[in-house]
Amino acid sequence: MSIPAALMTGPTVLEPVVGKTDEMIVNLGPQHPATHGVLQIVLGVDGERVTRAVPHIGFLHRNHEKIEESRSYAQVIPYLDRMDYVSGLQNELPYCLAVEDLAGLEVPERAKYIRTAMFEFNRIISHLVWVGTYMLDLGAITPFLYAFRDREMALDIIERTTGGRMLPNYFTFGGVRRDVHPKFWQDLLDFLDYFEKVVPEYETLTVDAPVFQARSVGVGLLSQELAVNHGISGPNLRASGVAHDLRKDQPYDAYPELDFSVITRDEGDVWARSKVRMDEIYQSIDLIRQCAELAPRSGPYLARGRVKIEAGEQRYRAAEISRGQLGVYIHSDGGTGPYRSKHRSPSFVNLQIIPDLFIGQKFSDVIAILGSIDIVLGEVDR
Amino acid sequence: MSTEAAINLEDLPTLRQQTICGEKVYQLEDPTAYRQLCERLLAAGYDFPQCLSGVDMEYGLRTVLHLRRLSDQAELTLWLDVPYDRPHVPSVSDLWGGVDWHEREAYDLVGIHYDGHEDLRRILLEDHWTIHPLQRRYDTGGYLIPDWQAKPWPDWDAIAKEKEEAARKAAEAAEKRAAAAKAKAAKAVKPKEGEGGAKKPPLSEVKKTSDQVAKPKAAQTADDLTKIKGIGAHYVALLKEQGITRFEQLANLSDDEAKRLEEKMNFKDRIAREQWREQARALQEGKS
Repeated sequence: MSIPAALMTGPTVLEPVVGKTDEMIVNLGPQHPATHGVLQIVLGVDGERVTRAVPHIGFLHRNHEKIEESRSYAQVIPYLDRMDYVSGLQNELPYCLAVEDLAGLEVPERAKYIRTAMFEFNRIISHLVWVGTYMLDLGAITPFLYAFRDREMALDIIERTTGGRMLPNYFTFGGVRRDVHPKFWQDLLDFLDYFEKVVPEYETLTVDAPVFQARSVGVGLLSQELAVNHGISGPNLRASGVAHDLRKDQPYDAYPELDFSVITRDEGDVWARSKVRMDEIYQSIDLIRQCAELAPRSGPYLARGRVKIEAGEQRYRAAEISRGQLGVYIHSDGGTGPYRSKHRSPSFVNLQIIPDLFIGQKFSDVIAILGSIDIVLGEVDR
Repeated sequence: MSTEAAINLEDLPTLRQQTICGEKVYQLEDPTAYRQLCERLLAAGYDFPQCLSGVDMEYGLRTVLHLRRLSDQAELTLWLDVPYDRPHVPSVSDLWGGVDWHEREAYDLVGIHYDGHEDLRRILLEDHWTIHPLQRRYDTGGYLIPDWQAKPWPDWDAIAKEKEEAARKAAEAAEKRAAAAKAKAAKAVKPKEGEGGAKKPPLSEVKKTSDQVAKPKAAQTADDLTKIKGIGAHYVALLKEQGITRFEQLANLSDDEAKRLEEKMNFKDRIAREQWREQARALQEGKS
């Protein structure tokens, strides 16, 4: 059986259905600020109700996976930063974990804590971008200014150690590429002391605000079964009442040593997804403090060793980044670089759910639902 | 009884099982069997689709499916190899909604056709694109590599045999070296003789067996600790550092010893939680 020609050239334009009230076709994107990148969603609208939704992605496609075939293991890491440019550091980790597993590298204790603290710190930055841009989508400008003010301070701390703000190229297999800035831990703690006091401000402006609640409670319901079956991960899954968090279920780096519990909510609506992210900011603050307390202040930060991976070896490793499960599948042919590396980006999978979430909803809720999934198009299209 | 045993694998043609890097892998060549196995795995509780990737193996195209069971976090990998001239794989997007776009991506970039997928269109590239760029016959520019040749289909039985043979040879070489080392120690006056007795194995084997050489006694009777659920290749290496290579040793750990071991190796009450000792005891009894 071959693929019918009709399937090879897809319908980028829907044909409107003529009925009692005529269906209207609305193009959301690809050039729309609320799609956080270049995403096109073709919507069929009957009055105020959404009847159909067809997402089109690929506008930012660069085919990292083909490029990585001709790179060595170390040369792949800078490309990972560019997948999800909001949380660059987090993107590097699953790949490093996979290569470490394959090559049998042991990460020094100190590097584990540095990586975990950086990982959680990046989660705060990523959630700040989410809260700012999401509120902007919904018409509130103030949280955006607040969020970017604080994000700037956080990025400065990352820049002091890694040299990069959004594209740090810092983690590597066996540890981290260079030592942290001498004041790194103190900077972190100082920032957290300040930041902890302003998070309640965000809450007042978002999850606690009656205006936001009116737009979010009961909107975009995602059931537990649907979420699991569609491979949804991260805050979206946990807001539907599934306590799945790879930091707990498949702990890596320093997470086995840290004390925390998985944040879940049972509502499964837009508000619950927002609330889970807000709570995760508090959780990250706590986790970074624990790291700062437990981390050794001296010792090696990088394991020295040769990366030699036998032909036929393969590994899938995943980590819980701010958007969900970021996985890397590496297949080795014994060469100096990955024969094939596939990136399972959380936004790519989470975005599949939008037709299910959109259909039957009010047209004005579309943006509220789309923003609550928290997608980064650089990661969707890779 | 583990759920693993409840999955019927008997009647599936071309099914091979192996463990790579501590992960269970089911390897298949028959598309119908792939679909059947997927249905059974879903029934056995593998509810979370993690990832589906297409890989060009240079003799054919491979679909790699990674599943997870949320109830106990068990992970599983499926391989299905199909030839270039018939790249058809039954779609499993009706079983797990989450592989829908992954299948579209594998079709788009690798060129595997997923039969039964309700919307199999290109997803990342434009609709009018003609090539599948992740196939090895194309270079990074998207041009055909002029003298590219497909490899012959691998003889999996022979490969499995070869692997076994290599493992056996490595173990033998380790034994020989251990014996030679012993002899060397005994005849400390004439150290050269003992060394000449054992043939120097190639470098790759030395690397593999150097750990075993250090502890020759353990190497002779080492058990496959990865059979214990919760222990992967990484933990086997860690345990070996502590001198534990057999089920018996694990089974006979006292509470204090287990605690000390956990502290040393950062396990954090894994031994009790995953019942390593009980599992080891059962395996030990099964062996003897």
